[in-house]
Amino acid sequence: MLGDFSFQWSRENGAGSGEVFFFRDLPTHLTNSIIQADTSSTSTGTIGMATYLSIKAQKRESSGTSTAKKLRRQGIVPAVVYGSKQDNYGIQVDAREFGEVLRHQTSINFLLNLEIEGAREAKKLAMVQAVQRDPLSGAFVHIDFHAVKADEVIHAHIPVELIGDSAGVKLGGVMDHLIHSLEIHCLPSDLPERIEADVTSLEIGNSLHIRDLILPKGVTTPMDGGVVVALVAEPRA
Amino acid sequence: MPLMPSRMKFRKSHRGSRAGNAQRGTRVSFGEFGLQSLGRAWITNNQIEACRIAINRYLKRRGKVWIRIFPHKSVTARPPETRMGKGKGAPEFWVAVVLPGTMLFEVAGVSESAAKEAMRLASNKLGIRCRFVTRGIE
Repeated sequence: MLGDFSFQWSRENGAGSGEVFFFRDLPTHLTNSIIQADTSSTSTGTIGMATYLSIKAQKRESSGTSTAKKLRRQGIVPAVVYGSKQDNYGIQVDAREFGEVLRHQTSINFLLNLEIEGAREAKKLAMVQAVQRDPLSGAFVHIDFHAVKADEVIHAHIPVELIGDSAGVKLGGVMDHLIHSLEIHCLPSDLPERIEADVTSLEIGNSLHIRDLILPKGVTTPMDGGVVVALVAEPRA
Repeated sequence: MPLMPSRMKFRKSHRGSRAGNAQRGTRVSFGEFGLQSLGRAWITNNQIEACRIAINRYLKRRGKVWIRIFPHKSVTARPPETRMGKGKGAPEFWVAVVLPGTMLFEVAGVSESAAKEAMRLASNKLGIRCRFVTRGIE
């Protein structure tokens, strides 16, 4: 089942163009490591058939600045795994492998399967919570993995993408994109890759609010509906 | 009118430290494209104004421009032909302390090629190496 993922891979329970993943550029060692997530029934019902990339990690016994620097020199990124019903512990992942995975994402908050060597629970579904990078070189400094359960609601920040050419922009207006990422609450299986907003009907002076966004099924946002996502401003005189 | 603070608690400041890299203000936060500093310098308020004019002239006032640095620091100078002593000189101009990694300017609402050229013209007004960056994933 893994061999056909090299061109296009869509979530089996996904709906709409916002949930399609493209892996045409992924190297073979990564496409081969795509694994099927847990599809078994749980106490709250059947969790979706979502599939996630997997990444190898090792449990990290030592900590501290000098140890972390040594690891980074070897092309390894120190990371941490935490979650609501587990102890925190340090891990390390290969920087190149993580970079390849991240390069094909549209958001920092994405789900993957951690295969942790030396940990009690070898496989763990986790969301990338934060990625610290060096501002100059772009090298990874540290990664936060948030271990999630398939039946627990997660909080994530998903990019908002404006689709289409606005009518106001065609008349000389300036599109002002104010909210670039939207905070959402959803089950891991419902996590969209991005939220698309159609702005073709926006005239000069019109604005698009959070309440106007069409969120996928099972996705809610705690943000106020009146917050402006984008507006078409008048051209400067 | 070049940027300057509206009021200061103390008119004259020490030179301070310019060591290290920028730890904040290093990402494209408001626009789509940005100009990131690769060097360290005191960028004067006149330089910032020259960059702003260069960007706006090239973009023909289209799009939106953000200036991400502000000249908070006053620089003093002694009058010409003055002997040493008699205290510190009077404030002459204002500077922003720029470290490697600092995002200097951002633009949105224009094409990438236009933004790139506008940023190139702006970087010519600064005495430091800069690079053009686009918004990354969040």
